[in-house]
Amino acid sequence: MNDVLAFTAYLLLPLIGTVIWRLDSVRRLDLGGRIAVAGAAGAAIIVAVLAALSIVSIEWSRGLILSIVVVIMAESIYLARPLPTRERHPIDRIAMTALIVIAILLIYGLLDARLSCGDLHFFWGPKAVRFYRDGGVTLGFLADPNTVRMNPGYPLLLPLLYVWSETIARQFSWFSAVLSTALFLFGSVALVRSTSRDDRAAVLMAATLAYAFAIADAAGAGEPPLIFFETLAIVAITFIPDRRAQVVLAALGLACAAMTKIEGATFAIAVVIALLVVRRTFKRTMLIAAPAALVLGAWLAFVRLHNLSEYYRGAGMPIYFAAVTKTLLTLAKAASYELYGLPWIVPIVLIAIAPNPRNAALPLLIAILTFGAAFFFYIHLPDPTWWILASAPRVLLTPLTALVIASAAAWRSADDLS
Amino acid sequence: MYPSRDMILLSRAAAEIVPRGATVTAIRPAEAPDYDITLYLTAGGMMPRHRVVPPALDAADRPQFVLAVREPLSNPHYRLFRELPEGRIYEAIP
Repeated sequence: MNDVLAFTAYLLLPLIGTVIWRLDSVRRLDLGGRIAVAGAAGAAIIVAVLAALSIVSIEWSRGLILSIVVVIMAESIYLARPLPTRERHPIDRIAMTALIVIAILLIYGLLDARLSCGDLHFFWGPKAVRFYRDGGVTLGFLADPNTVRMNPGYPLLLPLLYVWSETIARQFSWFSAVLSTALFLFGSVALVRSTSRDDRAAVLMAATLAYAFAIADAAGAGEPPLIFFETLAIVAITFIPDRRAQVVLAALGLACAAMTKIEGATFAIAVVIALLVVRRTFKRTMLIAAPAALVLGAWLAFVRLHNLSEYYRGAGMPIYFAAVTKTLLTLAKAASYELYGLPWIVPIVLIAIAPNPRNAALPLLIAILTFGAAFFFYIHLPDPTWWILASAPRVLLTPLTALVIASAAAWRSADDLS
Repeated sequence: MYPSRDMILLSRAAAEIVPRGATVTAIRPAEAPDYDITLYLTAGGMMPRHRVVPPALDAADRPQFVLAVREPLSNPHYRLFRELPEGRIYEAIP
């Protein structure tokens, strides 16, 4: 029962974020896409509420949090009226069958815990457990020397989402945390299908991510929500033509990605560079990046003010050029995903044979930049072999996702893109 | 099987046995003195009503209880408190 309640908390996120359906472009998406976008908005709202209570030193309680959330949910649904519920883009039967098969395999893997990430048990989960027990994010916990190994300077979005789930269930549910991976993964798939209007691209996204998540043992870690928010940002700037919706959705995706993992900040920088190079729209790029810069800047100022342990200054460490060859070879091994690199080869081939390969430029550049950033950070250790093998399959999920979206863009006509 | 798996089971059981509020750490004794930190981090998530700390068994403010997976712990500061299928719980000798 506890696990069911805890999982229900994630299912409530789209209801909390329904207000984002006020955007006409979101309203025009199919149901899956609208639910996924509302889920992202709901996650941001929940995290903002929990963080705001801690900032003003109001202790969390179940009654208080639920009262606030119910009011927000009611207001959100009211503002989003009339709620569009009609499916605008019926899915191809073969694609639907493929997605169901992938979902069954993924959920089986998640439920028998074989896809679980150690980091869930090492710090994502324990941090949420402590925050919930403490009734908020407390400096006493973050600054405790005993918690330095739990990455106190990491951004807080995921532990706060887990706190939300724990608030509903009154107890932390490890299985619901692991199972939320499926929601984030298929949320990403729904975003791609809904914005690209391409069922085959959705199947490729689902197959690639489900397989890569399994090889990377990513369940319950920061990567599933990170990839979800990154997907939202990439599809918004790639497929959504309406400027206002594009800015709002991309800004939402970037801000949430930046507050999910350190790699989210790297991703935000890559998106900014890609937009400036490919689109040459300075003002819109700044609008998209501003919320991420603000929330991450505020968090880093807090971390620095209280001298918490963090890893954001890794780029300032010495570079070991002697390690370049070994880093490249080890990174290539990790990037092969135990399948001869097929997850990369398929989208690359699809781009090469596509009718409009130039349409892939923006997400392709994001893929190249984030892959390059991973390599850049790895050469800051004299022997990064263990680090690469332990983390690269998860870190490379970002460029892999961007590449798959690039392959979908290459098969759309220019009129279908943003 | 990874020792983390044993630690998940042991710390869940220990959460009901060790007095609430006590300081606890978690180790695999054979790894002394370079204990795998992930074991006590794992226990930290399973024992929310306890204060789970790093494994400084010989420090002056040593933890009151030690969860040990796999091998038995041999340390003059600790004595066996409870034996479970997944491992052993030791308490500090006053």
